[in-house]
Amino acid sequence: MGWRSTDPVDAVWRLFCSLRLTVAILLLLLVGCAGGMFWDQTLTLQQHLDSVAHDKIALWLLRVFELGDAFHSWWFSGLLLLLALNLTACSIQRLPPIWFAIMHPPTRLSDALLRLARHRHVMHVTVPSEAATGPQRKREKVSSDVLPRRIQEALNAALPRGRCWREGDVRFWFAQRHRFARLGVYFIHAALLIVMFGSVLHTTCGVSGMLAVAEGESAHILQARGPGGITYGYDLGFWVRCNDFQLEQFVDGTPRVFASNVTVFDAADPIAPPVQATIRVGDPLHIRGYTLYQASYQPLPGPQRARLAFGRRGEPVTAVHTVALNEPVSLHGFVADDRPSVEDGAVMDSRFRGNDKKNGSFFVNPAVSSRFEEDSPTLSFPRKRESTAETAKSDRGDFFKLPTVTPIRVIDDYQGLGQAVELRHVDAHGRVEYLTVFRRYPDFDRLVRAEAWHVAFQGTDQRYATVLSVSTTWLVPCVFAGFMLLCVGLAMAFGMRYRRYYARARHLGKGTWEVAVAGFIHRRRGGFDQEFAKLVKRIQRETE
Amino acid sequence: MTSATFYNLCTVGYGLGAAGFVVHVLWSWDAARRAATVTAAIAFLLHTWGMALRWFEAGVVEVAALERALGMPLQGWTRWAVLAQHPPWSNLYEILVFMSWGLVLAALWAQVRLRIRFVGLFALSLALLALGVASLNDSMIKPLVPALKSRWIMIHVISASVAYACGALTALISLLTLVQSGQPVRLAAVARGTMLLSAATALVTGGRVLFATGTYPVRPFAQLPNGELVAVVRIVGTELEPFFGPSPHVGLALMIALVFWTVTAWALYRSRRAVPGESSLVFYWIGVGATLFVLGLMLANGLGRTPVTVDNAGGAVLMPPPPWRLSLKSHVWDGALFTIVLLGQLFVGLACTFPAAVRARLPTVATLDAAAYRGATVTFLLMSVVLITGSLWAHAAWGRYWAWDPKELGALLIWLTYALYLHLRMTTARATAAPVVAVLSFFVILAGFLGVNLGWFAPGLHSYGSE
Repeated sequence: MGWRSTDPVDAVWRLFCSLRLTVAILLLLLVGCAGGMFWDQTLTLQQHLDSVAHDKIALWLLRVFELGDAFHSWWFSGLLLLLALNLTACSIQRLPPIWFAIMHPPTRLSDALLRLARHRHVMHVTVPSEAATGPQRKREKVSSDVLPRRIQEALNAALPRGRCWREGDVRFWFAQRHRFARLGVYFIHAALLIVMFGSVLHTTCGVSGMLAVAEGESAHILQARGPGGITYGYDLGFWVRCNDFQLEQFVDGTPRVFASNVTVFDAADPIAPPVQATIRVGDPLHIRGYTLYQASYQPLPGPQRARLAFGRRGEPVTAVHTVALNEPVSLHGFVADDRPSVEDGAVMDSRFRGNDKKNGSFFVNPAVSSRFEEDSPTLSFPRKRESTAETAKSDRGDFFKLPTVTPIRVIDDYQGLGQAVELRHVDAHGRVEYLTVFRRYPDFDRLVRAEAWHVAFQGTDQRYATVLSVSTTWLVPCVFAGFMLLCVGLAMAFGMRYRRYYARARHLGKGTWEVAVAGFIHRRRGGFDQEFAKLVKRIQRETE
Repeated sequence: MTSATFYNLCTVGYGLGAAGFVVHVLWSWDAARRAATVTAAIAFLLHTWGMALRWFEAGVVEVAALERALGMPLQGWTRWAVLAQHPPWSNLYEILVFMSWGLVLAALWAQVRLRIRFVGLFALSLALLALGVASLNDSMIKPLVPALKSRWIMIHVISASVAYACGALTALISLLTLVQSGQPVRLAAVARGTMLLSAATALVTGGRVLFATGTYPVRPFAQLPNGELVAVVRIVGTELEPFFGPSPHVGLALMIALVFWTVTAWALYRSRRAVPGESSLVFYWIGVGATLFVLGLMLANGLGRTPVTVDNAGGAVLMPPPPWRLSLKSHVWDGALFTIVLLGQLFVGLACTFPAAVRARLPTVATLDAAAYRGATVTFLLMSVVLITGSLWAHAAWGRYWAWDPKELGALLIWLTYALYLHLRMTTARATAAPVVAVLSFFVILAGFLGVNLGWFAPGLHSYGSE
């Protein structure tokens, strides 16, 4: 039993170097993490307080153990600090002797070392008979040269880059493999410390939060979460305007792509040029030390809008319109066989019909889509209010009736057929008919009704607020460097195996040699038995 | 032939393989082992082909969806890139199928290289269970959500699934190590632990609902005027979904089983310093019987009868208030967990009742320990990859590399458990505590993998994995 100091500093040092402390900390971390999983860490402190306001014990637990933000609480931080100290102390204590053992391993196979070896083999080899013919001195010379050389050849073949030397009548061999594998554990420890240190720095020095911006609006206050789950506003120092939020969905309603077209500008500095960019999932915007990620989106309350796609008979969809419920879309211009009955008998000018089919300009409804006007600057649609959605005014100042389609209501699930929209169609003669088109079956109207035009329902559209995750990321590379180091450490610790091989040939006289072979492996002995047996067999074969 | 056909074929193959391993374990016929290994290997190839086909099927769906969205056909490399975009491990159904694939792969390696009996049997049983539960999940191929359209999905999810499979195998081998290395007194401790684990499983699965509401949710049956009992299903979109409601029978059975398990654990604790006696063994087998009874009742309630369809409005009226909703999806999983518990109880029961015969069929402790250690290192390594790639992916997709999300915490818990195992092996508790931690890690994996999806923990960011 070794001597132990009674010095308290030494006792504390030993405690922090102990493996038992590591086990205890890991167990406590396991319990802490498992416990924290049951508390919704996304709620704010106020929400947590509201949820347990009626329960005094729960309230006390929440306050004392800071369960609202358990993973930044004093007790969890304390555990992480203990782990960091433990890792550091263990590394400081064990690294120097291990480094010494790596750089200066025992190279000479002594009897004591041979006894220590788990893998060892001792064989006695007699010099082959043909070498023994001749005078005694000749036989001695042959045996002392040939046998060690054969052993050396076998060892060199099996273990290249080994060392070989002679001490009197005794020959020694030494080779080692993957000697730096033993440092893998310390790489892992260092990586964990870097990750922990980087995370603490990132949390304390950086800012991270959510920025929700409604379409067409601007924001500059970040909703960040502080210690204990307290939320606070953080002024970014610049404004983010959401020009457009693009959401494309599959027919089952799941999002295919969503992206925000934003403009970043500084309200206090009108000279600074605004930056316009599109932020997609996995394609963030880096600006002024912050990184803006497309995190999610929120539908905003307001009137529901239906996206309708129109086309002529025998042609695919040529235009898409997004309209609010009860807001008519004029169909005039492509219903070639059904000229409108103009109130005063005038025929509409071709300019009204909007021949730009590509942009869908034959759908004339300025109240519906401002983008339509932007896309078709040549279209001279009357902007005065005397022209309603269902009437238009020609160049000659005549009013006439337009055929229209009006979405009446959106049905979330039409008898198991999925989302559908009910439409009211008023033709140029004033006749009214009701249609239902289904989102899941875009060809339904084209195939079933077989009119001069067809309509398809492409889903509902509404105003959204884009939710951007904004954070300072200049410290993240520090954490990722820790990850890199962790990968290196894992590869060294688990991908490589530190092995040492020893051999010794001692001449016992009368042409007989004692050949001792020993092998040491640091960890994972599985497979080394076969490897060592193979080496021994090879030496035996060479010395036969 | 679709991927489902190949999955069905491989399920049959695994079933035959498991039967062969049973014959091998009971009668030590080496021919049965060889036949079972070959059958499992062929089934594994079918499984692999099925997954490849599923990848192609999912790619076709992605291409069709994108072509429809863009209104133009995809050509050349773009088409191939989109075809390969959707790997067959993007939802719960596919992950279960993939996990069972990893489990069989690891088991075949352990069977061929290490010749460990029971491992093939247990691994194939678990794989069959996973495939069975997967078949009860939604197998429809849906286009990937934007957050999943990343190259990280390949390495992250593969690492996680293979790590879970290796972890399960490590737990199995560690259980065998405990049985092989233990004296009879140790066996009693193992049996006691099994019973306590069963009680814990009951508490985690049904108990939380049972004690909160006094009953347990199972499929309700409506009685028709002619007296016939029919199962109730709901219309959800175009699908019919089994509707679960409260039933006092399973709750009662669970309570009785809990009592038996606790009494058995107590009886085994009383005889902890002695060889498991007849009385404690009788208690033990009664505990096993209680598990069987609960499982049987769950299955009996789960078996479909003539369905009565109610629309969503009717379902909303019938649907009980929370916490019932939390338990709806976990009902199948409760059955799966109890099946695992039953398998463990049966094995430990056999080891206690016929210790010499069981030990004679196992390799040496050193072999088992080395295999468990190898499995644990692979699991630890892969879980490290999962954590690292997950952080990188989260940073790219959400702007935060770590959010203390329950799913992330689940992965961290598994990693910490294996770190604990590796450190315990360096202490004096190497022979005792380390294998116990390895066995318990299986339940940590289950909690980390499924706990979030089944609503055991607080909600998180990984909601898309629950379907």
